Amino acid sequence: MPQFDPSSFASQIFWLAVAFFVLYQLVVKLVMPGLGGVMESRQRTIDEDLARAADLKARTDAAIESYEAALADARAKAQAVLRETNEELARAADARNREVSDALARRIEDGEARIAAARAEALEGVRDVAADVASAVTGKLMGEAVDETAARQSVDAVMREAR
Amino acid sequence: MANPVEQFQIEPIVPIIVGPLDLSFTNSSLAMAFAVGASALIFYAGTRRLSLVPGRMQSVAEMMYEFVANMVRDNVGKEGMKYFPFIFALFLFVFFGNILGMVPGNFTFTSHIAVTGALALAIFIAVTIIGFMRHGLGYLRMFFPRGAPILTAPILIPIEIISYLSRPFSLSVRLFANMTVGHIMLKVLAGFVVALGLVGGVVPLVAVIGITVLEFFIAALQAYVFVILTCIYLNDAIHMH
Repeated sequence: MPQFDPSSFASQIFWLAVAFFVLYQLVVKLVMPGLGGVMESRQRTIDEDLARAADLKARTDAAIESYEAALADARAKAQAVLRETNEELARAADARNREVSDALARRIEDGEARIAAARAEALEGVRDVAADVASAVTGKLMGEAVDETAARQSVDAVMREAR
Repeated sequence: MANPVEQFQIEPIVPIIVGPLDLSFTNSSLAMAFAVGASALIFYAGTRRLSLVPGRMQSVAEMMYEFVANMVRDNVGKEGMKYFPFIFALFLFVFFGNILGMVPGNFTFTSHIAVTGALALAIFIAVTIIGFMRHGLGYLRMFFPRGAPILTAPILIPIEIISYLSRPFSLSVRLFANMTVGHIMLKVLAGFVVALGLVGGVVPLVAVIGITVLEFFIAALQAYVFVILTCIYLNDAIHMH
């Protein structure tokens, strides 16, 4: 096999060294500053963008947090106002209710008193009429005048029974 | 049928004799020039218009760069990036040597033990020097694993020394043998296609097609293996094990 022929070794190794040196120079001079540089700057750009995005996100979160705090605060305040108003209204309504029911109760009492008076008056009238009628009827039946007082007394007795 | 090893014959193109040495520019040297030229072409095209958002050629160049950079970072760590230009040049050289060797008629310089041996020996010597520079005589502890019972030293140390010294051989022979055998196999099977004629030649033709695909794969794989082993040796020298 030609691989084991030492006569070509010197040439192979010499040209290997030359070719590899050229390639190494190529990598160091062309690839590393160019490609390596651009990839590094890309990584830097990406890192910076990510950092900025994280910063913006933190700020957004803070804004959302303060907004929510404000919202909760406003809600609590609104509820407090609502509750206060409710209580006030309830108190006012209670007072009015009491007032109105007192007035009603007074008028009912007045009415009842008037009714009682009217009734007493009416009963008085009925007794007089009944006594007159009783004495008149008795007089007609018996043909003699009846004692006014006796008639009145018996009417009273009957009415007491009826009551 | 053509001799299957004829393809490995080194033919001088420009004879150069320096004293007792024959430093002729040969077909092997031409293939090396092609490998360097292919690398130069890719990286010239890839870095002509550098931009933050890469174009097509820049993407190809960056892909190769990233591939090797990741290999070095993963296997050697951050300190290894100091040696990245060398590793990258090594990868490009072996990779294009193997791949361009698949072009019919082009010489495969990685199929010669002189080339792979010289590369492997240079890597071996460089790695050993780096190891001694970083750890001084402490680098000799490489030959005796930490924590092993002292009684095992008479057995372990010779084994470790042999395994260390055999690195350049395994590194060079692996690449040389893979390339040589692949090319011989292709040549022999291709010879069968011609010998068996129109009807019988179909079977070896299919085999040649399959093996050609396989050889392209092996060409890339062996370049990868060669470089990753270099990374592992470098890692041993930098971090010890």
